[in-house]
Amino acid sequence: MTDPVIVEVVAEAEKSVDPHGPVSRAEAEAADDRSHGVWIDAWRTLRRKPMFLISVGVIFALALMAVFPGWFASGDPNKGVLANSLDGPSAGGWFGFDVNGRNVYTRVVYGARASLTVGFACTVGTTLIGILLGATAAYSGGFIDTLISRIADMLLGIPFALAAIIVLSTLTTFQTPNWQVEIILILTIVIFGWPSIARVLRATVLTTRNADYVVAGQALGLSGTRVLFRHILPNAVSPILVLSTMRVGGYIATEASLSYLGLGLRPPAVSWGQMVSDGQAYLRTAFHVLLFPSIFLAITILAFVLAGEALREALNPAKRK
Amino acid sequence: MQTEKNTAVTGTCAAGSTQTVDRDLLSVRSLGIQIRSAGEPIDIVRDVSFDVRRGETVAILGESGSGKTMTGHAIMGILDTPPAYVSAGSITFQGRDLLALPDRERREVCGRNIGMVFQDSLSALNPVFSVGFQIAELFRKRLGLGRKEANTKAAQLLDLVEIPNAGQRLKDFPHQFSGGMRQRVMIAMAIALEPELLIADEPTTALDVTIQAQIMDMLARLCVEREMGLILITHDLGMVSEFADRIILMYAGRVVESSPAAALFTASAHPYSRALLESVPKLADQHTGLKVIPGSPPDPRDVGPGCSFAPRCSHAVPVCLTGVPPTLEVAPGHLSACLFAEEIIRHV
Amino acid sequence: MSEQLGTPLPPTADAPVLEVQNVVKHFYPGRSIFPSRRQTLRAVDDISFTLNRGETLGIVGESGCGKSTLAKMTLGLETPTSGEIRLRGRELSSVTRHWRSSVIQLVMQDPYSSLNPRMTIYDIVAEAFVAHPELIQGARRRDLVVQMLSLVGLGAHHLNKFPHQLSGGQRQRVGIARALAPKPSIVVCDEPVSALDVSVQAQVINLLESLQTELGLSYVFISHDLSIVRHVSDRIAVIYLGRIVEEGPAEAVYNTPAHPYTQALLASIATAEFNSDGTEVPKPPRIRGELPDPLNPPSGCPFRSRCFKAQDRCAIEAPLPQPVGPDGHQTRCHFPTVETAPVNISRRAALPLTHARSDLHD
Repeated sequence: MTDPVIVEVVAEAEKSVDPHGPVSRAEAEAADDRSHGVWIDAWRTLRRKPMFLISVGVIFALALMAVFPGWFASGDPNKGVLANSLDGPSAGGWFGFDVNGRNVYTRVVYGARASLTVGFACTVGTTLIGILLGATAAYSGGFIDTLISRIADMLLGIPFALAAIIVLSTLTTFQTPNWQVEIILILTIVIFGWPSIARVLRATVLTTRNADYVVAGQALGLSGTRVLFRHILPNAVSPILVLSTMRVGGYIATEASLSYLGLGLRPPAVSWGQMVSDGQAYLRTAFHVLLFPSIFLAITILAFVLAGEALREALNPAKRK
Repeated sequence: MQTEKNTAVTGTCAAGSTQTVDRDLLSVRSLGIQIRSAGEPIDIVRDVSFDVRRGETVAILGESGSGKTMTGHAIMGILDTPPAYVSAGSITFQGRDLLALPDRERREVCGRNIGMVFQDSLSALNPVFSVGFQIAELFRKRLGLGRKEANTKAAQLLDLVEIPNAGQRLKDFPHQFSGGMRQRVMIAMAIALEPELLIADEPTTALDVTIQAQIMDMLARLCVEREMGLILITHDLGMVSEFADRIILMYAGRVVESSPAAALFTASAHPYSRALLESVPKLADQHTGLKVIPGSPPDPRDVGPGCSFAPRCSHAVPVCLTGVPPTLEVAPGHLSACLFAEEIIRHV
Repeated sequence: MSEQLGTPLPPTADAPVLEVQNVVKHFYPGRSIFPSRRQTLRAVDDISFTLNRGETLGIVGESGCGKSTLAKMTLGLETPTSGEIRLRGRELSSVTRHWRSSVIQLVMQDPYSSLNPRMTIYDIVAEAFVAHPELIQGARRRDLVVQMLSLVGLGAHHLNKFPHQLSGGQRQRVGIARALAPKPSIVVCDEPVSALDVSVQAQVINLLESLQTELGLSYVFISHDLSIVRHVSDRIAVIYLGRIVEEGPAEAVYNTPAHPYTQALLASIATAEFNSDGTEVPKPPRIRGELPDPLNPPSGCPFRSRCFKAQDRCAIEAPLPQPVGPDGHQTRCHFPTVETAPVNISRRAALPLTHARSDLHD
């Protein structure tokens, strides 16, 4: 009887024979100390995942870089010495210099802000609007559901790149200040990006709304809002949460593509997309101009995807090891 | 039916039966199945042996996690590999070792000579083709029949499984059939090529009781008419008592008792089968307080070195937890894997 | 324990705790805008019964017969199209959600899906006290949860586990603890053991029965498994296509079934009954055909399409409930089998099985 498994099984068996076996106060107290919810449990799981820790570390460093670029690089990202034009990496410029002789490292550091702002704002925007409209559609049903769903279908039917090009080229000119361009860019992405989130959420809410535990909660006399916030949303939103974190990278890439097309941020603003756009002209002669912003772009996207993946696993108690 | 069943039972013996070789169909010996994923391999099925003869219905009875479905899949050659592997033993079908056959031949045998019916008929049928097309396709691909001939045979087959208006229903798609009718279609497809052996994995679990009875009656009739061996994989004691000739009772991956059907109910020789029978309410008694088996079936990962039922067993002694009990023949053709088998069978 | 947990009951102990009167529920699948094309699904069609204190009413029927809709209506989760449901004398539509849920509770079929996978066992049971904070009364919520768990035979070490870490039987116990926490007097058990392993079913049935005696609970026990329903029930109602076709004391319904459908259901169970000489106990003939389309049920008696007794009258006139025995044993059939003395079902059909079956396939 040394096998702990057997001891456990036997103990279990005894309890089931006598369903009123006393539970000691001490036992209850012991349980008290270990009390925790899904989020704390998720955190305990995540804490032990190196992949998650590394990606969060990277995201944190990038965020610091975006807020305090001066900590990471000295000098002006827009000041160039033409003598250094297209020079390769050296001790004086770790990532080399671009065609105007500007330090690529400094520019990468300063470019983080624009890229991360766009990625973050778009994610928050699409997720919030998507959850709100998706849940409303699923919950109210009938006409409102039809209306929201058809609008979403319509927006999804328009090719995203085309829509963004039309909106940006109509609403912005070369004189438009960069902060305005940035806001218009974010709004465009949000307006055309929420439908896919809303669609997934509508479907998950519809399935969880009929789940047995929701019926049990209603039978228990819980209020509608409690059922919604404790039972339906946590189970319906978690797939969205992951989808959203994975899309951060996508939005950064979108900003990059639009800047590449000349529709995004313009000098003197610095963004990774713009740098990639500039760098492609010197692909054969000065590869480093393209390489370093691309590496940062890729690392950022990868960090968000990995963090999202880990988060999804941790938030699902059944998948946790 | 009654007499047919009894004659089939008397001649059978689970391990190493030698007489009437021509009627032997399938022989499983010391079958072991492992799940190999990260970490230690987990034994899902250990040392399972049994025989099936022509016209005989052998039930593999067990609860969830007993390994009954895996055993069926291993015979049919549809184990999820990886992570599941046959780790030991042999499966001999009509004198050929299925495990040693090349993949191509194995598929040929399993498609034509062994048929299989699954529990979930909706996902087992292709939703985008009509039922008639799916059956006729079998005849065209496997037997090389022409379209017309294949369709005629398909209609005959649906008629055989007692689907009303068989000829007209050929054009219907799977979702247009009720659950019971779909299960009949599944059975029709499984027996289309006239296999010698049919494996039915919980064939009626998803259906209503009245429909269950109809389908089982029909399966029993087909087995008699075609002299087909049937492996009935189920957890339903009642069904087994009514339709099986032999019962292989599995628990946590092992065969704990193997006996002629009636003997399991009248003279069971294993504490598990005995407890199981006592825990099921009979129609005759009411409010009596059922006898309970404490605990629940073990996780395959947590099975100790000894008898896997020992932690829940009222007869268990310390030695039960340390070594696997030997299989004893308590009566001709009646095997029990319990140290106290003789004692239990006498204690009727 | 019972004084502590049972709700104060009305002085007349035999007063019905649940009365269902002529309840009808219609659904309109497809939602066509044209009223003439609208199809009506009569999920529950004129059902009446009463449940007394401490009693168990077994409800038997095949899938799609309306038993789950009926359960949801008694819990106030669906509104009847017409008819009345009274909980302890009060009309269900006039009571608050809070009062209703302190009187009637639900144990569900699937212990895997009836517990929120993202909540711990503690949180799941404690929700009852969130909905009914008056039950806490100074005690610690945790102590109450532990008390509920120990009532169903689970130790406090399960408090912080998640549902997937428990076995099916343990999960069902959690479901029972959650249902009993608001101290209801009626529990609707919707197929409470059919998803469990055979060797675990008896544990849960015994638990439900001992809780019933201890707490004076009334059960509505819904199941398709006739041997389990028979085991736990005092009265039994057999439902076919939304109607009660036979109702009466459990003994009477099983020993002298009057409706051909009840007889056929009993015949369909594959039972593990053997005579002492090892031969099977013979049984009456099986039912034939399938459940008709509920959107387009047969005229007159809904069972006539599968009934071996069906005659012209059955197609024209729907049978009304008529008494066939003592203690309110009644059936809806024009040609009921009325037995004077109780006869054991095992002696009813002397025919060997083979003959009985060949009759059916003619």
